[in-house]
Amino acid sequence: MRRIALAGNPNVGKSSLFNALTGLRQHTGNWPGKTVAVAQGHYLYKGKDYEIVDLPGAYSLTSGSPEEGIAADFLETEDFCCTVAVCDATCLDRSLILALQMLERCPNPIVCVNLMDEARRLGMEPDISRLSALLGVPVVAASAQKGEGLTDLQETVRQVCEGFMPLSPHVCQGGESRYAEEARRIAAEVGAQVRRKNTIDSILLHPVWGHFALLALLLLVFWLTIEGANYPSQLLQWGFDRLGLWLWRVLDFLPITVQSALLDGVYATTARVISVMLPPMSVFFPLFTLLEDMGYLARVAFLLDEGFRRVGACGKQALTLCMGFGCNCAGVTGCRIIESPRERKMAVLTNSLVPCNGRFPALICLLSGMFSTTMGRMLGLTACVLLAVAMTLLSCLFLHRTRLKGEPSSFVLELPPYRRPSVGQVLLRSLLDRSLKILRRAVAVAAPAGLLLWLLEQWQGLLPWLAERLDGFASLFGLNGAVLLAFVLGSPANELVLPLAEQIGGAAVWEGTALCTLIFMLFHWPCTTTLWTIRRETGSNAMTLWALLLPTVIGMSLCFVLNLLF
Amino acid sequence: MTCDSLRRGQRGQVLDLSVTEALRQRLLDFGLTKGTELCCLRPCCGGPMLLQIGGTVLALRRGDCQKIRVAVLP
Repeated sequence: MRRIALAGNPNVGKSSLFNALTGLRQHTGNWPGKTVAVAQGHYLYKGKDYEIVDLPGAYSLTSGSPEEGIAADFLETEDFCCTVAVCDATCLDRSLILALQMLERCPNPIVCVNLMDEARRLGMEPDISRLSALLGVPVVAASAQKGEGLTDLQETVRQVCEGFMPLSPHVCQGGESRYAEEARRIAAEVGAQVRRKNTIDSILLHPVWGHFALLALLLLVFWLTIEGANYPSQLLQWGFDRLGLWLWRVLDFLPITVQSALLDGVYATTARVISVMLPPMSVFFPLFTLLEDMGYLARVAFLLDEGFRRVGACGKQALTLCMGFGCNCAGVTGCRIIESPRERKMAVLTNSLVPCNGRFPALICLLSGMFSTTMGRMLGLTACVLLAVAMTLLSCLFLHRTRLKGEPSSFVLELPPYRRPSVGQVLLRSLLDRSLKILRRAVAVAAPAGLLLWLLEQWQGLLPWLAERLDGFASLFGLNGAVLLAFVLGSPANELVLPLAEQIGGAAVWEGTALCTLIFMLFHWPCTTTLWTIRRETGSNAMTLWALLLPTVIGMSLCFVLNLLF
Repeated sequence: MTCDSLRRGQRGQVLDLSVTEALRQRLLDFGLTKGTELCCLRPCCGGPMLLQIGGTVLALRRGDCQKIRVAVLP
């Protein structure tokens, strides 16, 4: 098998190229440093099997964030029969910098100039054969999204792997700025100079209107999520009820205990988790992915940087915060895009303050008990998210003053050009990748939890007894014993909290506790998977403990105060 | 003058960078070095500055921009 590597700057369409080559569905994004883990795939060409490795986007092989270190390490230690430096045709002067570094360090390098279609739209046509002559290696022009140039690339890779292609990679002479200078010279020589005009950015990045636009967009996304999830959710519930009745009849031959364990335990919990979780997430994720693919998320980081700077954190934390909406584990891992260790720790510790996909539907559920209109729910949800962001900033400030003192480091963020997202692909991808993954995880935790809960229920009165013991303590925070017990039992996965609470305390469990449950749902200990990820990322028990205590203390204090007031 | 006092649409050429080693390296990766021409897309009113270098749009904090000396180009 032949191993080849794809490396390049973020936002040069590297992942699209990877997808187009392998057909393997992998999430591609438009924000710097998206591919956190190294993705691998295969393709067959002329009877040979090629393994292709998609490295994290990097601007340099010598400096940068831990994530870029992964790319550099991989290129140096792994054995590749061909390394492909992916460049952006609309921005050769920058993307050639990394390519030139790769030409000097990597085995059998070739260059792929992607996004040719976009360059043509902007009225430029980089001279590919001239570029190839200047660089001393084969150069392939491609437009991955349209599927242009893929066969060319595969053929070139084959020839390089079989040693048919003589390579004499260009070596840069001069001081440490030699790559930048050489890249600029070459880009000018092949006729790739462009000046982009972003008129929409003058509104979206405006110090005042930009924030309004962000808020409006947030409201719109939440409105669509709530409205769009309402009906499918009811439909699912109805379907699951019907299916349940049918299953009772079909499984009639089993002993009654087994029947009850399977249906009252496993089936009931799983069905409830799915009908609450799935609909909002299958609306929210595609919307979110669309914004991401359009390149808006980098703008969010830009807008929020001022806030993060004031509390001694890094603007890129806004990106990890956004990842946290999907899953806090992913958010914590994503913190690798932050260069400064101090600011990275800050981002890791505060990530679980944003509601992940396990808690998000639960929030919607609690809000629909409090507000009868979509408008009310949307405003409530937005308030929750704004509160979460505010708490993130406050916690950063607190950490900046106490545990993680130090000077805020510099912040360099590339704002990628807006690109039209491929809507069909986004829908398919978020359905396949994200929604199904989440569904699988929900089922994987809900089914055993359902069984465990059923077993505990057989133990006459154990759960109500425990809940009663907790009642006194919980009432300090405006909760009741059943809800608190559900939070504790739901630690492996937050999806479980609401169904558990209803199972333990009955339908009346929310009377007088809804508001505090909402706040506690936003801020409590991270789920066990997230804690484990934090331990792995920080390598420190003390940091993990901080990450555990920080949201818990915030949630408890807020609930305590709310309980005193109301 | 320093980079942070560029006005919107004004172009400048970098004279020198007195920033930390890490930031200098990072800027080098984006092609921003001595002699680079840049264009100010949005001056700071609060947030970071937006600079265009070739085909790249970079956001840089005002404090960092103060450490980059530029000559204004006509």
